[in-house]
Amino acid sequence: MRISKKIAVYTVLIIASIFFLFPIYMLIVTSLKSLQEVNTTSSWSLPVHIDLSGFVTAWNGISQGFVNSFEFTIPALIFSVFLGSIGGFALTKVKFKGSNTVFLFLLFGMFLPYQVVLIPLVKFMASLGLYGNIWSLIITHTAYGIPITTLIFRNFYSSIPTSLLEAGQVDGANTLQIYARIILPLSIPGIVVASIWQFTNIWNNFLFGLVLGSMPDVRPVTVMLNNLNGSMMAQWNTLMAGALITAIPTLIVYLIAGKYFVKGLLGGAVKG
Amino acid sequence: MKKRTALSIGLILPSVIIVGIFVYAFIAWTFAVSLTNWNTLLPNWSFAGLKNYIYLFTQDMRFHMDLINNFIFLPFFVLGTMILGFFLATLLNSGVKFESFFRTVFLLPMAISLVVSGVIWVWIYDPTNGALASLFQILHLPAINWLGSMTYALPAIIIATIWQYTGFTTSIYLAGLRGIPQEVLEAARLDGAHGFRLYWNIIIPMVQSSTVTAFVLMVQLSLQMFDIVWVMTQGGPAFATDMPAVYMFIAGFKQNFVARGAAIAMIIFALTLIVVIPYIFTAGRITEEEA
Repeated sequence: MRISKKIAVYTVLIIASIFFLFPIYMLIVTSLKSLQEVNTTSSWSLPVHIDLSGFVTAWNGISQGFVNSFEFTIPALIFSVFLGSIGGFALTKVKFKGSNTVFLFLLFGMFLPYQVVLIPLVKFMASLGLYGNIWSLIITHTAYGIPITTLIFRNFYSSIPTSLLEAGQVDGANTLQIYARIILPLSIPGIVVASIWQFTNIWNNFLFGLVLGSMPDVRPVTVMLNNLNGSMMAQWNTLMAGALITAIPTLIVYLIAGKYFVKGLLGGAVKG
Repeated sequence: MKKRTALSIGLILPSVIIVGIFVYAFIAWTFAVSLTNWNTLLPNWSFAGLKNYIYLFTQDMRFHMDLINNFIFLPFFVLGTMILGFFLATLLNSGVKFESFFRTVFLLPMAISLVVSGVIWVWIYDPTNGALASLFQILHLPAINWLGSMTYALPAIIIATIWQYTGFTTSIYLAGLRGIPQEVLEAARLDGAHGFRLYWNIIIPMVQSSTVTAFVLMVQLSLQMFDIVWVMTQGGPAFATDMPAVYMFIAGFKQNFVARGAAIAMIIFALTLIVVIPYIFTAGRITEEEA
């Protein structure tokens, strides 16, 4: 590359980085300011004194939601990843007549606008007596996670050579044993990708929490943050602290395992 | 062999049943409700035909606003994320240093909840102390209440959503660009294709499947845009940022116009099908060929 072109490319990349990072910068600096400082100095500047009162107020407002979100995200993640794994295995390694149709039947759920299931979902949970129960969120996130986890595992298992399984069959192992002894250990990367994707998706979800989280003891952190947004008008240090607390779990996962996050993103997008 | 088929069906059956209920049966339920008079607190299953749809399309000013807003939002959001995504992916693919750092930065917003992004952007747009207000003050420009303005509220939300999703399209295009064989590019260069012509004649056609994927995903996201609008403006001021998905939630869950909410949901669903059905069937055909 010519030097002038190089400079132009880096300049544009840096400007783009500023665009993507400045809201995060605003989030962090504002959360560390006192309310006085938020209101008197330029909002761009770094805090003069680090003040954690925003975090204290925000935590009091949303800590219950923070705990609730873990309580339904982790089980729903485990269930949907498990179902996706055995389903993806069946669709690739123990093919049956119509397996492609079954796959399309499941895949369609990935593009579902959730609006079209929202009203029956609430009525259904109420009729099961689960409305206001944490299980309503666990079941919902498991159900709507199945299409993407099945797709991720289907693509993943397609890349495992069938000869490995045939070697297992020669040894006299049955299909379930092949799954447990050969497939499952080989599946670790797929499980990591699907788990990270599901964790991020379920934790960040708002709509299901909004219609199913009527009681404070099941309400997700995203819904509580939105309520904080409504009740703490102009208390920007508290709101940014609340936003940061809400974002921290998925941000940590992303910064540690971003590579796998991208795989989940593309596993659901490019291979179709 | 029979035993294996039975086992395979056993493994996929739980997923099929769950998706059958939560996707297909629920859609049928919503469609059925949209044809009733259930615009009351208590269920009312009396048949109303297309009354709710006719009301939405012929009389309901709010729904008309929603469709207009959604069709303004859609092209700006879809083209914005796709053009920016292609452009950034091209830069990232040009052999720059710190490529993985830039990629991590661009995709960062995708890792956080739209509720978090919404709250941050409300703060940025805050008319008295927000980041934009501070900048305008330094530049001696007049203060603008971005989210309170009929003119600026929708563009303000479009910018926030482009911020959220551009990393997604960048990743899709980057994967597409990486899939172009080096020999093809070298051959094209030897044939004298450079700069714009190289892009127009070789690269853009070769990332066509990325373009289709990005387009379908971004259109589908536009049609069901709810979270960030709800957090930032709740559809206001005076419905300037109202969307079908916002009205659906209000009608179905706040105002007890259950049948009307269901009808709006069905309209969102039908619009989504226009782009999704051809995509799923082409994707299905591709995977069949692979298999």
